[in-house]
Amino acid sequence: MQDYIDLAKKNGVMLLDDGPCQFCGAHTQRGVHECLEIFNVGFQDIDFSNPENHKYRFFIVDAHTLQHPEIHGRWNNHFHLSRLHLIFNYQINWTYAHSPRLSDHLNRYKKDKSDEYLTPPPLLHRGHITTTDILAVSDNTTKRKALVTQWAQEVYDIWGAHHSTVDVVAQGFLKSLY
Amino acid sequence: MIKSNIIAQGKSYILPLEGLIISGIDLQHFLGIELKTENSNNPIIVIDIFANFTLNRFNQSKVLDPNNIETAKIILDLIELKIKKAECSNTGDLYITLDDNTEITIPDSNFESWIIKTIRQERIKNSWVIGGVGSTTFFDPN
Repeated sequence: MQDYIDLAKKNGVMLLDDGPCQFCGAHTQRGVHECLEIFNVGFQDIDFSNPENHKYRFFIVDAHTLQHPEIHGRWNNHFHLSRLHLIFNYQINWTYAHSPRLSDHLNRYKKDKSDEYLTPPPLLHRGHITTTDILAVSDNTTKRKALVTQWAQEVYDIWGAHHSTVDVVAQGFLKSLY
Repeated sequence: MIKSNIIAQGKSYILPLEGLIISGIDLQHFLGIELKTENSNNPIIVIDIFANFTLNRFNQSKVLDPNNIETAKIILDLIELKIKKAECSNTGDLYITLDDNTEITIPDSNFESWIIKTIRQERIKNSWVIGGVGSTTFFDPN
């Protein structure tokens, strides 16, 4: 797998090594590198052994990926926005086992959609909540969970121009499930 | 603590799974490969696989679907084999080599491809390492 530096290069984006994150505006010292380090730390105070908390992991991954599409592959936007759409719009109680099924469905979907792009919202206009805000509430797990949920909801809303597109993906996925 | 034994090596991490033995499979989610120590009967680790993965065995390479019962049958053949090396990249790929040189490669994906969990009493599982979405994330397993 290519790392994010290679993917940024492939997407024609120069990564800045200092200051706030150039994509989401997180208050970092070392730009996106630090933003990713915070993301990779995983916000450990949330007990991810409890299946009831798995949704927070999905929210973290989806929100961060959709705030940083330039360092991911093009179809990741479809996947992560569809997942949030299924959770927020269809109230699907998402599990790890759903993800490969959505990915399989997306693989079938994209065969006929070679021209379909989900254009990201402008840089630094991808939601007010960022990794550094989530990190800042480390002393309070309840507050952190609430903020993670808000983060995901806010990012999902900001990608609203593409909700109708991912609704087609979501409906097809649901049909394939039931 | 198991996490502290992870060794960073360039863009990879050596996972402290060497010497653990494949003891069974868990089909609770997709496909879980259970690992135990030599002196125990109970699994202490499970590797949950969610993405298609590659098995290199006897000079043959197969791509396996973790959601297919035929895959579970193939993995059953690996029971009692010992892990020689377990390594993951920082971009979400997992590489496992067994003592008969069988290789299991679980690639990164646009979703969480694999999760290594520690098994506590009464089969309560704690996520330890998660690979996928271009990254590998380590958690405190305790």
